[in-house]
Amino acid sequence: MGTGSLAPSSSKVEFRKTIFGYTPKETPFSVLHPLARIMIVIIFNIPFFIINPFLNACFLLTVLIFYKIAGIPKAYLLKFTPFLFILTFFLFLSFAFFPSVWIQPPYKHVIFQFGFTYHYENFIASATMWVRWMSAIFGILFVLSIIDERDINIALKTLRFPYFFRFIVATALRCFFTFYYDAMQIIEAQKARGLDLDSMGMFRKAKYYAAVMVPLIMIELKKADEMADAADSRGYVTTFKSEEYKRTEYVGHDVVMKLHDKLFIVFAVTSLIAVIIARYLPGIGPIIKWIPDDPAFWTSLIQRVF
Amino acid sequence: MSQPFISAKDVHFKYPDGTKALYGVDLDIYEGEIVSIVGQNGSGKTTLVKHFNGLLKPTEGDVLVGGTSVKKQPLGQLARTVGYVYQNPSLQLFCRSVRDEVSFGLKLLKVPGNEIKSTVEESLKTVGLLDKIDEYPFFLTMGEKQRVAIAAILALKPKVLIVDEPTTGQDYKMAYQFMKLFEKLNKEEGKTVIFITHEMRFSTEFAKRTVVMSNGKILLDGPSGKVFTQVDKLKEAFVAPPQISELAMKLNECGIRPDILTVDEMYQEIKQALLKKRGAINGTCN
Amino acid sequence: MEHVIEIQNLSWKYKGSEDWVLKDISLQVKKGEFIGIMGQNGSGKSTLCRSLNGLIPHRFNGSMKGKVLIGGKLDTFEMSIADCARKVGMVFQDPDAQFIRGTVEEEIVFGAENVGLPIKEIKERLEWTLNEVNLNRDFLNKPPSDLSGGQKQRVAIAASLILKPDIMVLDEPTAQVDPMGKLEVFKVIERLRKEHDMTVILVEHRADEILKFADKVVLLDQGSIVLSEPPCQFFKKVDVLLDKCVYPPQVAQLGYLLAQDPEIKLPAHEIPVTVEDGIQCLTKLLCT
Repeated sequence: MGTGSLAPSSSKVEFRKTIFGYTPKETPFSVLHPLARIMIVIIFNIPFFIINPFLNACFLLTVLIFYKIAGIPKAYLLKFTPFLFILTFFLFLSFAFFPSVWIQPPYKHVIFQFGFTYHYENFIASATMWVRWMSAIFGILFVLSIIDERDINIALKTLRFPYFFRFIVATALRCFFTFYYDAMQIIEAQKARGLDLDSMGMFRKAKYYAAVMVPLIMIELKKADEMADAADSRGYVTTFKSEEYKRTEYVGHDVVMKLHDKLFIVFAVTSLIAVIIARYLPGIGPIIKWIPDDPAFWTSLIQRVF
Repeated sequence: MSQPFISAKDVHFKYPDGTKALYGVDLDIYEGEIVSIVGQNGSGKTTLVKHFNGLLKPTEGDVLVGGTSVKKQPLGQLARTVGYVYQNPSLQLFCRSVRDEVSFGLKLLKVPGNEIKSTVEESLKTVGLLDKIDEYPFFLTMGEKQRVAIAAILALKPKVLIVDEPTTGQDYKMAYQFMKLFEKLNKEEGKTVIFITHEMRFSTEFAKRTVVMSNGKILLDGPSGKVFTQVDKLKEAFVAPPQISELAMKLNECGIRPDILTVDEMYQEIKQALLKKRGAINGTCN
Repeated sequence: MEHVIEIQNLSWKYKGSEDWVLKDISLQVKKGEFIGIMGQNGSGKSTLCRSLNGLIPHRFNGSMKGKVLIGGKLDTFEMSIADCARKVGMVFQDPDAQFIRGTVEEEIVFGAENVGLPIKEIKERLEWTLNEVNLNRDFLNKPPSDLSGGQKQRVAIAASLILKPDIMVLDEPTAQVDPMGKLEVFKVIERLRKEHDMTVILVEHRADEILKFADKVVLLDQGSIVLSEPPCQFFKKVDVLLDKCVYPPQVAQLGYLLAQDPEIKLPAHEIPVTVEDGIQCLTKLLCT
């Protein structure tokens, strides 16, 4: 006893496959019922009803903290960087030419002039919009990292969706990844006859889309047929008459909605409603709708801090 | 001996997720050979052959095709030298007619129209599908689809054909038809054929040379007859020799040579041995 | 004794096709028997399998003549596929296409859920099937992309087994599986045979497993049964097999050539079918 070990400490974290990828199985969010976890999406979409960039930044910061708490590998987020860059570019571009409804023109503070005039007002409007979108996107991606297909099934069951509908959703999710792998295989197979899609530009690639879509559709249609055979062979009956046909729900039978789950869901929904109502209330309303439309705000803030 | 057409020199390969598939493979394949590569799943066979047509690039070491490194040749060009025939033709077929399918690769390479026409007809004649040239590929049988895929590869006039498990899931008749086609392409057109198989009887019947792989390394490499006598090494690679080879080895003490490959060879060998021993007397097992 | 499967003059034609895929097939299978079915592609093997669990005639459109009786009294024409599923388990060729759910656990219990078994029973049966197919509890949460071909097919067997059928039909279960996976799957089939006296119908191209397990082998050609014999007799008929595009064991092919040779004239009944038989026969022949 007592000999030090060079091996890392006992934290052998168990991973599981979620919609997003492999993330740790046991997180502080695991205590929540799947439906409650999905409600987290609502919380991070509240910024769409708030204009104040500082308030929205708090939401963004919170979701990033959630990622840290849940131990989600950074590598997954990095995969999304190209998409986020494109989104950021379009957000800033959209407000570059058109005025924002939040700040009435004429705009006074010019940042630069290059054929067209780019004002500070355009910039701050874009930045404010950006924080909202980032909060929402990261929120959705976060929820996708802590739920898997079973959780979706359980959440839909709690909302009383019929099995027939849930079966379709579950099968679609299961097949989604197969589509991706099969598409990769097809792309490789087409390389073997000289069609190197990976090294082509976007427009050239689009020209040959049939070379991937046609084999993919043919293969997946065949698979769908075979899957239906298999489902039938295991006694599955497609029917709307659920009274005639009693089905046991073994999967997720041990997941029960507890008090804290109900409270969380109520909290999420009421927060959203509260913010919507608060926009029209005196006192709070202006704070929610406030935007720093004068660069002097920043200079005075920096002066006060330093 | 002339220079090898394909040369793998100390090839190591690691997948992006970290798994290492090849640990220093050296392999030389000469023009005009038929080579079979065997080994259990995970031994690295498919990973290795995918280096020959540039689908994969070695993480260490190099692969030379026609004297030039694969790292320096674009995939489009390599497809003209090394053709890769996939197990499942449905992965590649997408055109409205067999003619379009077979000419697709040529159109990509901007080959002139009249040359395309003659090449397409030639390829389809080789696989025996000239009469189906205007058919819709999806209405063909599985065997015909496979032949269309092969014709599409042949149209690019590759010097080497890599065939990945041509016989898995096929019945005996179709499997032999395909192997006979590759044999014909080798004998009549001098194409080098490299095939991967799990059924050893195809190695013994069609390949003069067999390479046995295990755990990312080459365990055995030599004439098929000799390779299948190395029982211990084969066991290591989880490869079982075909029945005839097993039989030949066990009958060695009765004067049968152990490196027999086919049923016909064995039959001839036994006949010789019997006639030597007994002259013209009928023999029975009692 | 009552036959567990009785096929009486079965003929089937798919809708839109002119040809009868199955022509007047009659076959009786006793409980615990292992029947191998061989034949070239297009001879009707898959169609015959589908007729055994009700997929034909309920899921496929066409014309049917004759009957298929399960357990002596249940007519597949009258029963629904769901009812047949409790008696006849079915494993298909493509490991990926028959894996319909997202994880192994969901896949295996799917059948049990469909028939409305109570939760406690489903739990017990799940443990039992995992044990039967040699899969560890760790596999329960794995998605199909994490499994090898052999593992997927074992899950497919478990998914049918959970309904405790009397009959297992396997349509080329290892055609798309590597040799290691083939071994795993056949180990499970052997166990089912030995420990549960399960009636098994196996469609295969390879003779090895059929020789090992089958009580009787049936050769299908263009929808008719051309040959129906115990394996040691079946594989001796090399000329018939080659003609109908079935590959007999190399040892049998050799024996056939020796039997046909006018100077050697090996008696037909002595044609060896396994390597051991071959060694015995040829040693006697050569070393006497």
